[in-house]
Amino acid sequence: MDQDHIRLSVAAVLQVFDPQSPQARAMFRLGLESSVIFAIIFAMVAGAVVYALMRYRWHEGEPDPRQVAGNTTIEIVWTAIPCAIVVALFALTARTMSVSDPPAAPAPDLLVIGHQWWWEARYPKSGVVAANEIHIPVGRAMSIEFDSADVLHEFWVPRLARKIAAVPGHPNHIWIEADAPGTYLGVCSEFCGTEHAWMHFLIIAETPAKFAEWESSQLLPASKPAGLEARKGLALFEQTSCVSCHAVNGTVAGARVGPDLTHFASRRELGAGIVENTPDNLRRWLKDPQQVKPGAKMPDFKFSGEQIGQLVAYFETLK
Amino acid sequence: MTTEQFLLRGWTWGGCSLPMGAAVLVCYLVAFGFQRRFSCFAAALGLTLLTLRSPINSLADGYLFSAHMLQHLILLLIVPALAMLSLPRSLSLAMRPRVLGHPLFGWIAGVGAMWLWHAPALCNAAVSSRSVHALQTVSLLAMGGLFWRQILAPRESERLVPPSAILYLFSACVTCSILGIIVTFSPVEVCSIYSAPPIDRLGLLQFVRAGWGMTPERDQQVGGLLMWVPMCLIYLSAIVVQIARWFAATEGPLAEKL
Amino acid sequence: MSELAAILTRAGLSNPEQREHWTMKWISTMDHKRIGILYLSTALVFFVIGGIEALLIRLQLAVPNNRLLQPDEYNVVFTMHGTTMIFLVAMPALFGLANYILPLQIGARDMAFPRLNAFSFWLVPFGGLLLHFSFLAGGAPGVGWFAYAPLSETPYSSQLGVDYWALALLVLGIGSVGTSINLIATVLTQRAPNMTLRRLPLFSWMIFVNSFLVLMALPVLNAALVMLLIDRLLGAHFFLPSSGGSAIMWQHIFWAFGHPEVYIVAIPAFGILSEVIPVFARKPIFGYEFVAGSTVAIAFLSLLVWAHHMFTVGLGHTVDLFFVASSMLIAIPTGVKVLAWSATLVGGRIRLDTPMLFCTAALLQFLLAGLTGVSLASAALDWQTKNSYYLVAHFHFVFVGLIVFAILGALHYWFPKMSGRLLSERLGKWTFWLMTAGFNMTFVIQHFLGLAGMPRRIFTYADLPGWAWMNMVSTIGAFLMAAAALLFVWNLVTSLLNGERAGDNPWRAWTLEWATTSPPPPGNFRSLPPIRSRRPLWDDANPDRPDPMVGTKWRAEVHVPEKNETAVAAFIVSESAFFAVLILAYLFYNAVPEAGVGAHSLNLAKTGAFTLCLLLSSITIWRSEVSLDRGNQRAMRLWLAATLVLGGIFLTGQGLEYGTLFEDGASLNGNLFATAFFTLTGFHGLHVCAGLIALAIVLGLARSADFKRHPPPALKAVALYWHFVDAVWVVVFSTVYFLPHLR
Repeated sequence: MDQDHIRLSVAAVLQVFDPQSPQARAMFRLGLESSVIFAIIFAMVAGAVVYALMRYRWHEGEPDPRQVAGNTTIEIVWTAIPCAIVVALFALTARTMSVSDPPAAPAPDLLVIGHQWWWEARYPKSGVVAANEIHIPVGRAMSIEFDSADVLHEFWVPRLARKIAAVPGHPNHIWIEADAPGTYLGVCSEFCGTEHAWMHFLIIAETPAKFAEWESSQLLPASKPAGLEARKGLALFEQTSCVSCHAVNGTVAGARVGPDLTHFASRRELGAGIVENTPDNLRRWLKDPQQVKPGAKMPDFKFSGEQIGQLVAYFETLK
Repeated sequence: MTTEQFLLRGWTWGGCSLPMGAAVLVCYLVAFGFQRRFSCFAAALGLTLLTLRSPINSLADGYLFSAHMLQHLILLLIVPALAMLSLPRSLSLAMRPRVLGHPLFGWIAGVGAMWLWHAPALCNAAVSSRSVHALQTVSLLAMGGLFWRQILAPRESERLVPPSAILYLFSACVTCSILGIIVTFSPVEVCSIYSAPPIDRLGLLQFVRAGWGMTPERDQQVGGLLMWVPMCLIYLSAIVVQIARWFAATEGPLAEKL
Repeated sequence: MSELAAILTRAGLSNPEQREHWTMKWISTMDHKRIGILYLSTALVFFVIGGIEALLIRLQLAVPNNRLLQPDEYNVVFTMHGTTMIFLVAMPALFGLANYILPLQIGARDMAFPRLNAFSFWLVPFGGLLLHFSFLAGGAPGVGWFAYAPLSETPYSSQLGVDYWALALLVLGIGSVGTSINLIATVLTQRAPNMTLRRLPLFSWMIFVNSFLVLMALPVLNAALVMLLIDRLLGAHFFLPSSGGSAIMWQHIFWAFGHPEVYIVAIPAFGILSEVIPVFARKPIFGYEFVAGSTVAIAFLSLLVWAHHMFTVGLGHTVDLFFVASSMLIAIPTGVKVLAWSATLVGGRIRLDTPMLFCTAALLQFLLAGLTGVSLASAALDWQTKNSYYLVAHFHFVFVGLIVFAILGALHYWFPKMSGRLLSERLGKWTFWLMTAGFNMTFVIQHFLGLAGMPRRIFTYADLPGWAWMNMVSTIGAFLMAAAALLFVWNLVTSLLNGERAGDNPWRAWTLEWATTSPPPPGNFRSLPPIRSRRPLWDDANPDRPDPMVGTKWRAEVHVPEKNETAVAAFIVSESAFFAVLILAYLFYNAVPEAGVGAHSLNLAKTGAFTLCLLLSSITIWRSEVSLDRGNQRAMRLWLAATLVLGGIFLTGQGLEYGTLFEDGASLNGNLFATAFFTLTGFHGLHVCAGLIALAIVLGLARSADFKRHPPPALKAVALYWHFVDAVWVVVFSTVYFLPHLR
């Protein structure tokens, strides 16, 4: 394998080593610089210990060695050296902090709200509402403001940006940016209850043109379903308690408790990353969400097989 | 205005601190002469003048709470300590009545100075009134002196023994830290005059707020953190010196050096 | 049971000829050595429980998308694992070692307060029972060992588990404070003549410094738990943002305890390394003064750095930067220690017996943990690695790599002293190599898992590139560690029965615990060797080249303080920390006045008058002390009675104030002012009540003839406490009643 290849395969696994934005690159660089310092320190001290263990072993019958109780000069020197290292690391840290986390913009481009156990993304400038999939244009830094609907959550996209907590009643800000189009995995990294493990999200970086296209498509209200099954599904959706949690733009459903479903079928994953968004998986989900994602806030509605078929048909129209 | 311009122009040479400094210098030289410890005295005097005359003072004068805090820190903790060190070892600082020499008194003076001058009313008064500011400066120096007397009195016999000195410094540090914590995380201004200065004497306000990004909230945070972390580190250094002093009485490698 | 009794008899731990049943002897014991062993056995039992929980965690994570445990079960398991390992394993084990070894090292007959010692110990099994009872009471806690609010609040965790968790930790916290007060009083008042503070062996010195840290830190946790319980049980909302509380407040208070806590368990481990490494390198520690001094610096700094646990909460760059600086500073004294241990090895004659093996491994592993710790102190790196498996790996390198290894080293080192028998070296070496291999296999790889993006506390994970095999390696390592732990228990049992006789000083060590028989007799020493340096037994064995004498220059080292007053002073330190938290909380919650009752509802003049009564009572109790000193017992009793009456008047005043507030419609769960006000003044009132009870007891005792002949030091100690209660009220009164008028 050539060198680039090795680098790539390492990067594929160790996401932190594969920064894809100026902010993440600054942290990665600091990581490399400090790792070099740490490695040298470790090698020197551990080397000295191992050397001493091999060189100064006791052999049967030997008397006790010369009793050296210390040496003040040495002590002062090795107090001073760490001081210098700490000062250097501090300066590097301060520099990196300002690069990877610049001051917040006066008005955010994106509002991200953590919920037990999914992420809501609102684009205040255009009015788009998304869940678990956050689209950003390539090459433009987006300012995000964070909030939480319940407990603490933490937003972490290792390849793109610093971690930041979503704290109820304490808005936080970061900048997010991607160098190249692609899909970047993000997770919740602050323990937030039962399904903390399944609170994934995707940052989907697109060319500005594609992003604009996506944004305008998201602003359209849900299309009226054409097929009979799907129409029955819509009726069922509007009659049951689905509407007390979910919203579908253009129907009676307008609640904000659960994810907005207006463009549900355009999403790639279900249940914040737990399964792919396919009709089969959706059927499993509707049959009993607690089977797929135990503890999820959506109860088991005990839909009949027929009803599930209708609902799936309807949801698949929500492109 | 740029930062360089400000640093050049921010000096003030009026007021009575220069003549007073000169007077103190003459007094010191007359009393103790020019000896090895004079360097400590020169440092103390220099720092005082620097604190009161340099751009720090211009900033503290109605612009930045944190600059004001830096002044406090220097005047209360650093200058009196240096002044104590500048006194010849034979000088006795015994005080009448005896209660003034009690460690509790020194402790209350040192800690009280910090708390007292950050009561919102007094803090504002010190900024808006010249005479209160002068009183503040003098009282900080004096109370700092009382505080450090327990640790750095020229005569060994008038100092606290190391274990007690460590407790003395530690408890003072914790008490000041608490104030620092309050100032840092307080949702309201401690010293409201800094968030909305009544007059912009030097025309610096825009420069400080926008150029340096020192919003009133951040300014207060920096002020609180200065009181909290660097002050604690000064106390910590003093504690480390006490430990060294304690162990130096041992016939060990350290004793040869100290 | 009779077999167990026989085993204990053979191991020299019980004597069948004594009339009392051996279990009663152990349950009712007040001997520091037995209490030490009880602490260690309790820790071992909980270590097995916590270890099983660890294995469950690793089994669940062995393969992706595993469904061995339900998510909530997994959350309970890791919460209990963390809580158990920290509060029921690490702390009791270290307190056990301190209990057994410290009095021996300073040449004392026992701890200063044997009854308090037994009481503090029994709180540990009681606390553990309380914590584990939650399994039966409808669900153990599943909120993580730091129980971040608002997840730990009733709306998000309605089961009783969190309440049991908080109560158990309160009980354990009180026990830890009790033990620390006892250890401080023991070091200050029970040392053998000539055992000056500067001649303390490093283990004892570090336990001594550490006890102060416990006094400062544990009450902070207690305050946080009390506030959480008030939220959960009485419907208040200190930490509920939806009702005006603050989620970040919990983190501040918790980590103001939590970070010192790391050092509370690490400093005794440093002490162990500082004892064992010199003995097996056959050289004194390199730079005693620097090792001892850096301990003080570490303890001090550890109180100053907690917000580095909160770099991702969004405190702002200003705050972050100051905490980066203070956190990195800890690296300096810690580095001094690591280098001192390493330098002790150079030029020695190193014997690699099992205790030394564990301690050198601990040294190297701690070196790595320290370096990753510095990387976490750098906020910009923390923004990537926080809450990932990198962090999990880091703190396990501290908790297992340093602390568990040091404890294992210490057990191998001091077991001969405790039992009179050596542990098997062959089994010991097997334990060591299994443990080291297992430990590094489990946790080295977790650093990389963190860098691969795996967050902590997830019950399962998707099959992302690399995650599966790294987790599998980690799981296999965990089982190797479990095998090592089993082997160790086997070694303990067999060596207790058939181990080689140890003799008094099997390692040819130099501190006083080796100057008595193994196990030591009741009362510890028949005679003590002369103490003129830090290594009395070295001086004894090498009269031709003794250590240089460590002088006694300061009067503080010769003067022995009174033990009751010392204990009360130490208790006051811990109470101050508790009240400091409540007062700070009051200030923050009332910085911006809310609607409803507030500081304006309070009656300054009336409470001012009652405050004067309380202040007056400080004068009356002082007069009482003076009367006692002058031998005027009648006046003493009168002044004491006056104090009681004044205290009673103050409490009545408080009652009246509460009554007015209730009439105004205030209630504990009303607004934040009411919650903070009642919590603060209520706890102060409780302390006044406790003081009054103590005063009444002294007054009652003062009537007895025995008191008249030998006035005990009780009055002085109670008076000290009473002055403290008054001083707290002065602060509370200024904060609550005066401050609003200054604005």
